[in-house]
Amino acid sequence: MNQAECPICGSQISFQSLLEENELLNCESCNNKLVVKNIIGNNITLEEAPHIEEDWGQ
Amino acid sequence: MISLIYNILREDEKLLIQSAKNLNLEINLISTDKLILDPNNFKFNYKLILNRCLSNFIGDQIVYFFETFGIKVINNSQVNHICSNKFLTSLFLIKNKLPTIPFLVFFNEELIDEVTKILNDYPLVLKPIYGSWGRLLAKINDRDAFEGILEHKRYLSAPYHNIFYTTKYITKPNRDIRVTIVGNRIICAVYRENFHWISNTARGGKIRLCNMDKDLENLCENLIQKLPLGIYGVDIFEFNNGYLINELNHTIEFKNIQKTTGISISDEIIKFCLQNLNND
Repeated sequence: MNQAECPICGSQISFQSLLEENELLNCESCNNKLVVKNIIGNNITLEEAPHIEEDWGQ
Repeated sequence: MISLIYNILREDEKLLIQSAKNLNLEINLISTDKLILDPNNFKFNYKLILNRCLSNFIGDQIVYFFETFGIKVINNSQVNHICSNKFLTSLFLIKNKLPTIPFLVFFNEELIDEVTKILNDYPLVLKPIYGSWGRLLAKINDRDAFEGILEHKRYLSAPYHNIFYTTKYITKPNRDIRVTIVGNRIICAVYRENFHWISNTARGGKIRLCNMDKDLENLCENLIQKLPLGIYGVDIFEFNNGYLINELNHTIEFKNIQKTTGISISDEIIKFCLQNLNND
C-alpha cells in the first residue's frame, strides 16, 4: 500500500490500487480534489486539482 | 490494443480501464501532459485512440491530429463537430427534422426585442455555444435580465461569448432524460431529477432508470440513423406529451448512471472499440 501527503491539509492518504498520472482523487480529510502529479517508484506527489476550465465536460 | 488519451483521469476512465481488463483487451494510457503532436517525429504505433479528454478543445486537436495520419479515433471528428458546439447541434437536429427546442443566434444586443418576439416571449435561455455541466446557462425572465446578462457576456474574455445562442425556455417536469447510445444501439435511458431548472447530474440531479416508451425509442432509433456512428449522451425533454432533443454530448460521463442502474456503459464502450479494431 502506497501513501502520499495531501498538499492542502497535510494528511497522509493511503492507496490500495494502482495510480496513474493526472488521476483525480479526493482527500478524505479535507475533502479537496487532488491530482497525481508524479509517480516515481513508491514516491507519489499530489497537487491540488486544477479549477474547472470553460471547455471541460461532456 | 487501444490507447486512451486523457488530461484528467476520472472515475469514468478508471471504469473503462477495468472493463478493458475484464475483456482481456490491452489498454495504453496516454496523458496529454506527455504528448507532443509533432507530425514529423511522431511514432504512429497506435491502432485506435479512445479520446477521453476532459478538455474539449484539447480533445479536438488530438482527434484531428490522429485522423490526419489515418488513425481511427473514437469519437471521430464528425461526431465532435456535431456535439461540441451547441449551435451546430441545433442546426444538425433541424436539418434532420428531429424535434428540438426553438433556437436562434444573434450578435447585437439591440436585437433583444426582435429576438424575444421570434421566440414568443420570455422566459428564454441563453447558453454559451461551448461548455458543459450547465455552466453559464442563464434563464432570462424579462428584458432587464436579458440586457444585463448580455452586457456581462460582452466583458467575458472568450470571443464565443459574443455569440448569443438563445433558446425558448421549456417548462418540463422536474427532470430530463439522458439516453446513452453506443454505436447503433441504445444502451439505456435514465431520468435526471432535479428541482432546479437545470437537471444535470453535475448540478445534483438524481438518477432513476427510465423505461422508454415507443415514441422515445422511435425518436432515438431515428436519431441513430442520422448520426455518425459513435458514443453519445442524448439529453431529452418531455414536452406536450412528446419529446424534444435538447443536447448531444460526445465525451460522455457515465459513472453515476452505471452505479445507479448497474448497466455497464464502460463495457459497451470498450466492446464498441473492439468492433472498430476488428473492422480494420
